[in-house]
Amino acid sequence: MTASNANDEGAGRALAWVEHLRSGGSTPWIDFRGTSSGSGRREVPGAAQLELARRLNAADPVADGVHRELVDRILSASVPGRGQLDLDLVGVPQASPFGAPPVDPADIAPDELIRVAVGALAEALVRLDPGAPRKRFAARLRHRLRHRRPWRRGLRLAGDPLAVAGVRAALARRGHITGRRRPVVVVLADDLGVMLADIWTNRLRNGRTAIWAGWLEKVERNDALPPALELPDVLERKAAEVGAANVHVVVGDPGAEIARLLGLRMPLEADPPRLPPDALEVVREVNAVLRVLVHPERHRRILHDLLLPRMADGPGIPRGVPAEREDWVRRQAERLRTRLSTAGYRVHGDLDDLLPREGGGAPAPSESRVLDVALRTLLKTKECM
Amino acid sequence: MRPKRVILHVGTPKTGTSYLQDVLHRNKKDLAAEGVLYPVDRFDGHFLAALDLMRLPWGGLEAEAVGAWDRLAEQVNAWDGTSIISHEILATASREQVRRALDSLNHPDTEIHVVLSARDLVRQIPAEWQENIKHRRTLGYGRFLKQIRDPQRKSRISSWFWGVQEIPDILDRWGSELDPSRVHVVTVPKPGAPKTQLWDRFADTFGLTDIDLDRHAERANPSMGVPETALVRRINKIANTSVEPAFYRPLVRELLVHRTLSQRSGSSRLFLPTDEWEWANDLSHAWVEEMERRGYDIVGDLADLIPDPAPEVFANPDRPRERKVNAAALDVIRVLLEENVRMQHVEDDLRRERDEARGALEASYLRPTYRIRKKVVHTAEDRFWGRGAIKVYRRALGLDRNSRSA
Repeated sequence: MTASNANDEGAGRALAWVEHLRSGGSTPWIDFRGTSSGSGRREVPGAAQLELARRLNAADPVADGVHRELVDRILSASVPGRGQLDLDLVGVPQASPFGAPPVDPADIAPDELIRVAVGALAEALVRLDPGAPRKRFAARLRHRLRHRRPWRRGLRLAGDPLAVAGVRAALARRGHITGRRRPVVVVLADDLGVMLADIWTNRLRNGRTAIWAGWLEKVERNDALPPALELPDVLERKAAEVGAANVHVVVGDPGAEIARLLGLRMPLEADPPRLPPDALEVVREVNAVLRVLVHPERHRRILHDLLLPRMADGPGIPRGVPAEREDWVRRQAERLRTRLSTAGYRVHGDLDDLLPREGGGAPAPSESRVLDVALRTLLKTKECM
Repeated sequence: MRPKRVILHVGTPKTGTSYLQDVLHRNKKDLAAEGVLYPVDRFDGHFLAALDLMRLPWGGLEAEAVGAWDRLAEQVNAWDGTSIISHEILATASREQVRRALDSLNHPDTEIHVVLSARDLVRQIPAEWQENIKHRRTLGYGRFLKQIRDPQRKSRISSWFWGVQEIPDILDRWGSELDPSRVHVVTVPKPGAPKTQLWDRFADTFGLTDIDLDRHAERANPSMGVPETALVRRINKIANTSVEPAFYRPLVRELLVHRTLSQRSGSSRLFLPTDEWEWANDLSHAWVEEMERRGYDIVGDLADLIPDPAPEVFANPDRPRERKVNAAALDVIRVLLEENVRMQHVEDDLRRERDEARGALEASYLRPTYRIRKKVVHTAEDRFWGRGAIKVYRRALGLDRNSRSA
């Protein structure tokens, strides 16, 4: 076989593999034996995009028009961030001896595939975003009147932000609208390690990109808890607003106590909207791309309306405190417990539960699981295409 | 009138790009009068557009880049004469990103020229390591060299390095859709060449030779010597966790590196060890041969890209002379003390202004009308209707606290 024949054969095989993937195929490059007439390295996308498309096909073999559109978008995706550029397929003649060496797509590191997946996911979410809803004045007024029950007891929540979000969601599910009469403040507390993980999670839910270990290290270096977790200070401020008698601290599940305070018959099922660590890692990576794609307001809307609802398909476990931070977190929890026990506010639950539990929390995410979550989420964007 | 065309200067870093961009920025009004658009608000104004095009996170700055490339393309497309876009990190754009850039500039209907300024690899390698150190990294020179010599290029360091430095590959990505005569390689002259030579080559490429420009630039990206770079690396190791990027930029990169350590003279310069020199030399010859073959427009001399012989003594920045590092550290301490004194003065001035404002405010409180209003508010606060009235009044003024109920 001449060199020219070998070149044509390699290019033809690559083009045929691209078509195979576009048609929903999932045969690995190394096992693929098809061929296509014509040549042109330029028409062959990067190896990372091709391998991601193959894995997407393997995860969902339904090769309809919508799936094909998704695969096409991945194949033409502009990969965000730093990493390897435009990898060529091994076995395909290179137009130039320069650039990164060609690769077998199966050998591409998961972090490179995550980069492609997250970029495609962020672009898909931006496309799916219908834009901010425009409410006319009359509609806004109607909404406000419909959601006003000034005679009902008011409820103000503080403390663990995910627990607060869980209570708000539970009240909304129950159709209960709080009012303005004799407002009561409930400060939601838990194991301090869990509350710190919830604060960090809440930051990711609002577009931030810090990694858990780095963020916690910074918190320790400042030797100060985030303001929302300085519970005695929060209580003091709230007491100044509504009176100390109307301020409560709930340690642990707040559902029963809040139902009692609001006069509801059944306890609330107030599960904090936590996500598995691998899903959170995808959110963090998507945030890094969305930050350069859209402005902050739209970014938050995309997260809350489009991404987070598509990720809540696994048990949400807060991240565990790394061993080197455990002592500091325990000391802070003991300080909180002492201050709260002498502050004179009404406490429901056991203040000892503020102390971090041994071996609690989820382990660090793994790249392969993060890639799986990114692929699953990418597939879910098909529903709206 | 100049013809409608777009000049895309896409790199490489450390080839006088800061100087060029500063001159273009300072003269942008004169250039516009001559039909040349350099659409920027600051000297490196196309940095954000580059971040946007490449979806590149950059220590939080990327949040300011949303839509920047499209806005830039819009300005360029609306201009009838010559437009210049210049940023060195564009060198690392992928094929897809290049396609997006060219499409946004109406390729092939618009005449587009790509310019790449290039310096010999033996000078670029240590310069890139130094850039890494100036961007908070802590890896040693030996490890850096090992990573960039890895043929697989899997690490972030090596993929970035080759992305912005491998001249034939950059031109392959940026120039493959253009006629070779519209791809221009500007070579950086060898050390010792007249200082104006590089500018002359840029001016020739950009078609600016007939415009009288103020070429006194305030910006440059000067290099440090071996002990100074070793010192900054040590500073990064101990201060990275406590000095956030927003403070690192003005305090370390600007004050310590650019204004202090780069100005020191007499230090050993960064270079390549013998093994690496031979490897880089072979590579440089291969690049030059490739460029001759491709038929690009070469502005300058491709021989500029062939490295000079290695010096006999290699000063290893991973094992610097401690006496020299200490001397550099003393300079740093002096500058930080001076900066601290300056900031103390600023603080004193601000404190004085605050006290004066507070005094003026207290004087206004002593007026009889204020005392009457205060009594009315206190009386109202004790009554149900009064609290309601105050609330309405505060809301009307937009002063109501945003307390959210569940």
